[in-house]
Amino acid sequence: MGGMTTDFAPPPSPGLLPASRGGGARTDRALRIGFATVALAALLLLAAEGAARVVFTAPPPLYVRHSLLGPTLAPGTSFERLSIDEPPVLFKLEIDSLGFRGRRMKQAAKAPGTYRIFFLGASTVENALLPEERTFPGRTDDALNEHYKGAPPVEVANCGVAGTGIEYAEGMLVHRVLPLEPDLCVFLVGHNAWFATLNSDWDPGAPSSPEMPPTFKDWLTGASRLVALLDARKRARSAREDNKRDWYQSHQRDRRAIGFTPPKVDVLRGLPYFRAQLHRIALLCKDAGVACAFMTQPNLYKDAMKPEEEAALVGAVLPDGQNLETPVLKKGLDAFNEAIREECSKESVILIDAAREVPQDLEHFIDDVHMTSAGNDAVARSVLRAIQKDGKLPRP
Amino acid sequence: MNRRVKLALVFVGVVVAVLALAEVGARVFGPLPPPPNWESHLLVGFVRAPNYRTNKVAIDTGEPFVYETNALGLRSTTLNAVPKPAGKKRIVFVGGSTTENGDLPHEHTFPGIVEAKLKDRGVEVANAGVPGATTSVALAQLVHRVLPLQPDVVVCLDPVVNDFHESLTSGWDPLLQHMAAAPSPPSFMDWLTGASRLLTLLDTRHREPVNAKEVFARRSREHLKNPPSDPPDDLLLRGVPRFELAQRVMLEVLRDEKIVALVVTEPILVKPVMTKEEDEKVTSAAVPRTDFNLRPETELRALAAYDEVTRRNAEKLGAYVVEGSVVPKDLAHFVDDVHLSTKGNEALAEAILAKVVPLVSKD
Repeated sequence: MGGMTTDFAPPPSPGLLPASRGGGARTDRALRIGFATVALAALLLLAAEGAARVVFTAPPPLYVRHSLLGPTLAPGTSFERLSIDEPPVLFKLEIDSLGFRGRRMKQAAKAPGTYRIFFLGASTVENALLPEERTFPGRTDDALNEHYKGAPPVEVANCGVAGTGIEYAEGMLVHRVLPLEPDLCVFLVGHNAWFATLNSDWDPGAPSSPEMPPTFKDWLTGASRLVALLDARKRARSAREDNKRDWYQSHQRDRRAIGFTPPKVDVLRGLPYFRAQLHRIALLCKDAGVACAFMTQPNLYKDAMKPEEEAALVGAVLPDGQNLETPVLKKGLDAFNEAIREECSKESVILIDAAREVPQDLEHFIDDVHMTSAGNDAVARSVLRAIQKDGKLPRP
Repeated sequence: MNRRVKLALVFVGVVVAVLALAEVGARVFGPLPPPPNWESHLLVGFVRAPNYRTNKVAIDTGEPFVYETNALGLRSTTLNAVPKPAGKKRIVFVGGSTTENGDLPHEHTFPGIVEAKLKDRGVEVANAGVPGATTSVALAQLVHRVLPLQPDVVVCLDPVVNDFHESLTSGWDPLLQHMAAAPSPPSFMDWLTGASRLLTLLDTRHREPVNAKEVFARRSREHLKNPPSDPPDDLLLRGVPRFELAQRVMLEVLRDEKIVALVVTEPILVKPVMTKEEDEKVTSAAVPRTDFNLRPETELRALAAYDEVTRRNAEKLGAYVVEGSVVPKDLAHFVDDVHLSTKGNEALAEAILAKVVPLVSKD
């Protein structure tokens, strides 16, 4: 290597040597150290990967892919997370062997005499940030089982999947719920069905979802057991420690930070499509001999909003630059709720008018439509009243 | 510094710089990547990508042809947009590969033949068949892709062979159908082609059409080299109730929407006594992902049970039935034991036309 000296030559005077030679020696040394460090790190990582493969099994996947409904929480998944309630509590979110939330439906085949209720919809049904017993499907389950004391056994499944629309609920009914022999299906689908139509590029004929290309991390977690284990650990810690109130607050701030805009599209343009979808769901249930209930969407929108209620709204801040004012939001969701009431009377579907029964305040709502435990409690009472009135409750 | 190290570093630097330049060049001046042949649909799984075009060779004649989909991802020359023009009638075909006929020119397929015959009567026709589909997939297609097109008639050749095969795989659960295991992790190449425009342009993995002839040949070799092996009776028909449910829901949806439904029972080459040439074309006996190699009489018994469900469902729900047996069981009409040749497609198209012409002629 350049820059080396022998014992026989006098030590070179720094002033006589070209600067690059000294620099070359330093670069040389730095390179050697660099290579050695990289090699050592690679060896250590290889050893750690080997050890991880020998000692640990691969962490179970959080999601599986249903070929017709996309990613869904893996059956048997369970992880701890922090609830959205104040004060937050640590609870275990558990997915049963059928891929739903719920405690009593243990197997696909229905035992004779069992009464099965399925709740379908999006995040306001799933209530992923509340313990099962504080969600309205969970409370309905508890109330019915306490009342009937196992004669008949009542099984409740919460099939809500956050971020999905009415088409998804229809797909869920057809592909996953009908084969499980439901007795009653309850749908809460108003908000996302309406919200989707606010986007300028909404196309009811093409709800396609181009697959995002995998990220480097996706590949790495798939290729390395070590990274997969570390990632699973990080995810679990984040679920346990992250307070999702922060997420809501950042969206609430976003809404206030930018000015309101008039809607770019007619906020009621999705109504005919929504009515047609509701109608089809009602007929699908009717054809299958299953009692069907539509729930109006409880929400915080009202004419006289208190400043703190207004501040709690996430609203509609859309990718195309729209940020809609509360009266516009109210007009849209009210119209969709009215369509639900009309469809119920036309098709003799059970109406659960939760929008009129859940008090519109911050004790019951976290944001526009997501509910607290108290909100869920009010919905559960509304569900029980409606199905009792309709005579669709199981006969002991 | 050692000369070789210097050279190596310079070489690496040049390679990185050239690659970076090529990537920038591809992003700035390169064409948009050609569309893939498949597209993910939120509620249907995978569907043919819109405006996909590729050169293929007809599986029966060996003639080259261009396979293409329209802007809706369907094979059609008449039905190219969602809004239905006033005064037009629409017929949409749903099913699996036996409906799509992806290895025949569109005009040689039974949907294409029906389209050509009815074009002058103001009827728009589209083929929404998806290879590998089960009846549940066909149902999802119907609900989420076909109904928005406001069809007047839907013709369904249910992919019963796919339903039947799937039900024979180990671990199949009729109540958890389509709940796959965790998706396989992406490969390094998957990530790289997603991240680099240059590699996307060079990558042909997802754009090359599958060579059906090779696939058929491989499957029939499997059948010929292995001894016959039938599933036990309790396994043989376990897929029937799930098929019955999916098909019933499909016909109920069509009835509720006041759309005329026409179902086709399975045309199949398999018969109790097969010639050597016919047996060499059998692809459906060696059931994928299982060790079963079905005897003709076993396969016929199973498919007869599925066909019986089709007839029963149709009768109950007011659908028309076209018997697949109108297609003669010989190698002039089949390219393997389930996929039809041009002649087979013509025979089926004739039977379908006999039913649909009076329907679309009504005001």
